[in-house]
Amino acid sequence: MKKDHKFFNKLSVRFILPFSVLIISQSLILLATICFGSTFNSLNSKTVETYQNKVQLRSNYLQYSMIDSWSNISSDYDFINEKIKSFISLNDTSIKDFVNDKNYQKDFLNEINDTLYSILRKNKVSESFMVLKSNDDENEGIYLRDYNPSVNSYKNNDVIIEISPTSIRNNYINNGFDIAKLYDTKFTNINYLFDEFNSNLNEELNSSEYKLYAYWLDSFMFHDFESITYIVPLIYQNSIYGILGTGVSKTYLKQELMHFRTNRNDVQNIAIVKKKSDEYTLVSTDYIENQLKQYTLWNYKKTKYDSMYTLNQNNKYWLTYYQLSLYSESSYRVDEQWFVVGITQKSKLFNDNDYIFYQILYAIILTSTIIICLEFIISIPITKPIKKLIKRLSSSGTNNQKTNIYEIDLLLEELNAYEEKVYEMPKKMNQLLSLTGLSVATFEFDNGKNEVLVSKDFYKIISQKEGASRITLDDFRRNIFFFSQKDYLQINDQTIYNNKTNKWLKYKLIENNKGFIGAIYDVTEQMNVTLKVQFERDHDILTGLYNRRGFYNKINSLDKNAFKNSCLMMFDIDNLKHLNDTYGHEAGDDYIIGFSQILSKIDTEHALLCHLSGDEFLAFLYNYDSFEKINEEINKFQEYAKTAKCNIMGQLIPVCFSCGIAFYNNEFDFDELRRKADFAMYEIKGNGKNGFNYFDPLAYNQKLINKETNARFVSMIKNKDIDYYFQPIVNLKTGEVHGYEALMRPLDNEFKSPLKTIEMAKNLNLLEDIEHISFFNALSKYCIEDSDKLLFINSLSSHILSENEFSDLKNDFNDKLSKIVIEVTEEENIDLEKLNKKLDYISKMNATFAIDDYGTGYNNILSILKYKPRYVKINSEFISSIDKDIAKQRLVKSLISYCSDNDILSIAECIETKEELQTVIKLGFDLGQGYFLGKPNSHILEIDEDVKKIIKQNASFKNE
Amino acid sequence: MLNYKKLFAKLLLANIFTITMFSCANKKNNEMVNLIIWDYYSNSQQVAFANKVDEFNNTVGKEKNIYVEQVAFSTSELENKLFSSANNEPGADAFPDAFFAYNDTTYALDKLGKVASLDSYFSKEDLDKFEQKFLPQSYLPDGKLKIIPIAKSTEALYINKTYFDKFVDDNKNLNISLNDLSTIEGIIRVSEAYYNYAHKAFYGRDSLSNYFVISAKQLGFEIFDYDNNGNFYVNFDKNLYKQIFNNYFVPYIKGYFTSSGRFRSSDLQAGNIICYTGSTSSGGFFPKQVIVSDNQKDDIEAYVIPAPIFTNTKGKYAVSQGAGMVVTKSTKEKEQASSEFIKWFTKANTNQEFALSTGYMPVIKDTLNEEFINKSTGTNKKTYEVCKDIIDNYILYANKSSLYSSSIRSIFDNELDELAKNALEVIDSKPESEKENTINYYLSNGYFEEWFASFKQKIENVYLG
Repeated sequence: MKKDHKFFNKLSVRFILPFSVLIISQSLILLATICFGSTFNSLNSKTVETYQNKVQLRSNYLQYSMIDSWSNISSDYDFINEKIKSFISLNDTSIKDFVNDKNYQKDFLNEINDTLYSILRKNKVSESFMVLKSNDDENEGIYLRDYNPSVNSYKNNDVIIEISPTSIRNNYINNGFDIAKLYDTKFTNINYLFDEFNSNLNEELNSSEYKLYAYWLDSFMFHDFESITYIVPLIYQNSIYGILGTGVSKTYLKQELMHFRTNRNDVQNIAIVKKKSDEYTLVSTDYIENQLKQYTLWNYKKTKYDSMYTLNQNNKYWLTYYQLSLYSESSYRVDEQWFVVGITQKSKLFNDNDYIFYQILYAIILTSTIIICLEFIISIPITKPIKKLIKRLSSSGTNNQKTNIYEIDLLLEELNAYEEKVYEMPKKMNQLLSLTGLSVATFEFDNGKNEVLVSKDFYKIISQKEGASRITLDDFRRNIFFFSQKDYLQINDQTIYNNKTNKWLKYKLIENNKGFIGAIYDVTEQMNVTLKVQFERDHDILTGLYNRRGFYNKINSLDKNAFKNSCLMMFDIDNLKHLNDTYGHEAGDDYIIGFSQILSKIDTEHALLCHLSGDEFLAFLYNYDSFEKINEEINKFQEYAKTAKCNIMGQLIPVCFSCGIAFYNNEFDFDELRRKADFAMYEIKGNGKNGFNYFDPLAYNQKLINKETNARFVSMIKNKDIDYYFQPIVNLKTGEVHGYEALMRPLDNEFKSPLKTIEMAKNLNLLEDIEHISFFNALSKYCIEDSDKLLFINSLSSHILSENEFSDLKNDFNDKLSKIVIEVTEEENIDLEKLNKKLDYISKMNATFAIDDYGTGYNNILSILKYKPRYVKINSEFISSIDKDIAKQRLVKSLISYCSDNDILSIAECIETKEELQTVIKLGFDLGQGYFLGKPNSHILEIDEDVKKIIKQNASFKNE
Repeated sequence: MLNYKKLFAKLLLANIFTITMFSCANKKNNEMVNLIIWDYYSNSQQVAFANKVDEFNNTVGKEKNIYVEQVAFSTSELENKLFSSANNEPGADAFPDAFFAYNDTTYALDKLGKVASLDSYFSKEDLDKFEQKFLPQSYLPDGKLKIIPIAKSTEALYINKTYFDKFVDDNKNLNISLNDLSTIEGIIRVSEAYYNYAHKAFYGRDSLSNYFVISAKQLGFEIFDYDNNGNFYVNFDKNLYKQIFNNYFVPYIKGYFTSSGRFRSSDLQAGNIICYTGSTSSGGFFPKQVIVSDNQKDDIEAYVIPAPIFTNTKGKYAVSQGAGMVVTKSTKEKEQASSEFIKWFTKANTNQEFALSTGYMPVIKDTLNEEFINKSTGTNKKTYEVCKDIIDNYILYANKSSLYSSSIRSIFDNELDELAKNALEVIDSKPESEKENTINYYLSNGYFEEWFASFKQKIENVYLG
């Protein structure tokens, strides 16, 4: 009962579903508002802004550091200029002397070595240096380095001397400085720094305007460390005498930029890019993501956010940039621009927003789920009592326990009342049934309980002792129900006969997935009536033997195996008519009854006896172990019948009858058997003898064949049921199809062979029809196939078409006649007149003449001379295995040469192998035909390309 | 029939499960553990370390969502920074998540509750991989694992063999050989001869604190120790200090020894000395040339032997140094992440690569092998050969850690150099006639007693308050 309910009909579902739909809809609306509203858009814009601010922060920091800290050397510059001024005036020399004299330069360096140290400290740079101009590639100067300018050691032991004269070095060492691994006393190969100015500045230089010439070098490699360096020309008396440099190592720069990182969402990738004219240089990078290194930053396009771009090479990366203003308007480097670029993965940029979105989404899903769960709980107080109730009902029926749900309890009361009514119903029903006199018993089986419930009358009906009303299924089957009890005979699916009590029972079962329910009732009375009617219908009233209908019913119901060793006897009693006429029908009836009694001597367990009609009887002996046993029985009966007499109106008279016996043979059906028995019976009766006659198949067949086969063949010919197949005749020089030979294919399977067909037609004098069919059928089909190739038709030399046929032919196929080649096989006793007439027709038709099967014996060279054919077909016997037989080749070669001399095309027939084909081509045949070239087909087909190729190859080979 | 209670419980559980999964997944996906590591590497060593950190961030770090930032300071700065951060001094940076430190610093920071115990992050198998001789210094006196060795060094004697050979050649009668340089007494003897020959100092020494500590050990003393009550004390055996004094201060004022600048390698490069005792990690800084003046640059050949020891040493003791990595006591995740980094960093290959690029000894068992040594070149290779000799044949020693040892060591570092430099200044300032008397004053036992008393006072002020 539970399972019959649909899911959606459940109370809990009906209760929860609408609420759930409500909640889910609400959630979806909320979600849609968030998704399609402006919330996330503005949130994303803010995120982008924040990101840009962070990048700008770095840009500002870098701008500040580069301008106000790292390159802030104006006071030092002035100091150095003052120094050089006083130095030169003190020594009373010129700046030119200064450049030329290195000792002089060393002295100067001695005076300003503290300045370089102070630049290093004050400007918080990782390098400060001074290079003095020289005329060779070695320059005096000082280079100091501090790997980590952010912290200073009070002992100065973080300062490293890369370049300095030894005197200054010793001084530095005493101050705690360290000597670099690659320490040297002077610069080498540094002149390129000066070249930069020489190439750019032609005019007179003004010392106070050094800032216009100073520039940032994006990559300065010195002693294995790379820096970005601020290069300042030292100018005195309008010429450059040295270079002052400060800078930060790229490692330090990276570290400085990195310090801005505060948390996971902060700017992760920062790059500094220099742009000069249209040339970009990556100055420095602080990449967390290594893979960024493969992308070109200045290859970007816009996004929907202001100043936010995406990389062309990988649109997962977004970038923003800020320009550093490093040079004043009047600077020589004003065309050079530096940018701070922030690059981030789009997903990381909006990570928090996505996170918020997922949190909201999750909150929605969570609340929905919880609410649905709560609904579930809320539904419990309602559904639980009902479920309990259902459980009680299904186990023990209604009772008075209440659910405390008003409506349900009301329903329950109604149900109780209803159940009482229902309970009364079967009682009433049984009473009603017993009134009708029908005894019916019912039973029910429930899978779940493994118990069969049977009604009160059950045992009575099945004639058993009274038993329990609940029994197990096994007991029901084994002990009580009758399927396997030998007392019962199951007649068909639902009817059972009880041998012991002569009772007929019928039962009905309704099975379903829960078990089955059924009823059983007594049908003995009805069955008795039915059986009687059935008996009368199938039996002859006079003799009590089967009538024709009964006999055949019985035969049809017999098992196939019963026929294995069986025979049919057909009886015909003599003189019945005479008896009827002379002594009246009563005597005739007695005679029939008497014979039937004699017939009954045959062992009826293995025989069906039938009174077919007036004086005809049948006996079908079956299910014997062997034919010998049947013969024994027949002999026994024969012996008995010799002396048997029947009582006709008080007189005992011997019975005269003829009997035909036919043994059952697997090939024939029962009607055939009857015909055979009939045949045997009439054979003996026809001879005027009484007695038994065994069926003689020879005599029977003779009679049949002559009659039937001829009729069939004639009808085939008259119906023109002959199809024509087309076999290609191939040009052996080109491989193209020359024409097709129409080959006869009779439609009746019995006369499949064309030769047999001709033979039979000859016997039945139907050759004229064959000739007619050859032309008309072949041509009709040829027209349907619609080919422009020649059609070879076999014509009988002894027959010609009549005038009418000829004119029909002309009417029907006029345009095709010229395509026809008529093949004639010369025969032994040829009617020359007819052949000449045929040749006459051929010429009238514009058709061509061919001699077929040349070399069979009847044909000879003379015939070729005589009839001047266009084609000669060489008989298959010559072609078969010609590749292995030199004699054949010689003979055929002479034939071909004769043909070609007389402008006759030679055709090789029956080419079946590749070797034969090659030989035939070699010998010079014009045309060829055979299975290898193409089998006869219902339709006109081209020959195989492979075969064509073989022909072409061999033909060309031959020509060579 | 369904059991509603059970079903509901299941639904609820499923919900809680999904919430947890969801939030965990979110956390895992997004939350990167950022680690800040302070190191004391400088110059090329710092670059090498930065490269390794990059490598970690790009590989294992990426996988495990750990991002390491390294900030470099000099050794003394690092210590100052650590303490000012640990004490939350105004303007101090936030305390790092992990840092490089010596035992003494670690000990002091541990007392401030800043150091995580790593026993739970490093299993016995993890520790078995390390060179066992380095491990004793990984444990603080409380017996807890607090420092993981990363790269170690000891001390060796670096010799300008070119100059030394010339000196030996020029003074064949003195029978001087490289063997003489294996003891401190031998060094002094050769220094005197060299001084007489070239009127220049012969020897210098980095890290005078190591000189104090290892001299004490060699002469049979534990310089820092704890008494039966667990109180810290410094060993003030006068005889010990007399030997320390006599073997450094005395030859210094005689002009045999000298020191200027930060490292003696600078002195050697300037041609001020012929050999020095320095950390084996400084092998790379041994100069290829001596630049005496702007016009004199001599290519030189390096020769490396174990640092000289006292003739009457109690055993072949060698200094064990090189800071290890210490993890800050913080959240489980950060401690775990730091340990992950350290484990990665001490994988045999990584560690060898780092060691090779910095000149330190690798800390994993059997990794200081021939194959490894052959990968290095020049002075580094010679240094590694000596290191292997020391690891195999010497007893590695580091002083006991305490709250005060770090401060006392910095006193050791400056004491004798400053004392000698001051004395030399005084001597220089005297007129020629008084010079000898002044020198004799400094060489007298009275001066030693005077110094010893003030020195002892100075040290005791540190730990007795």
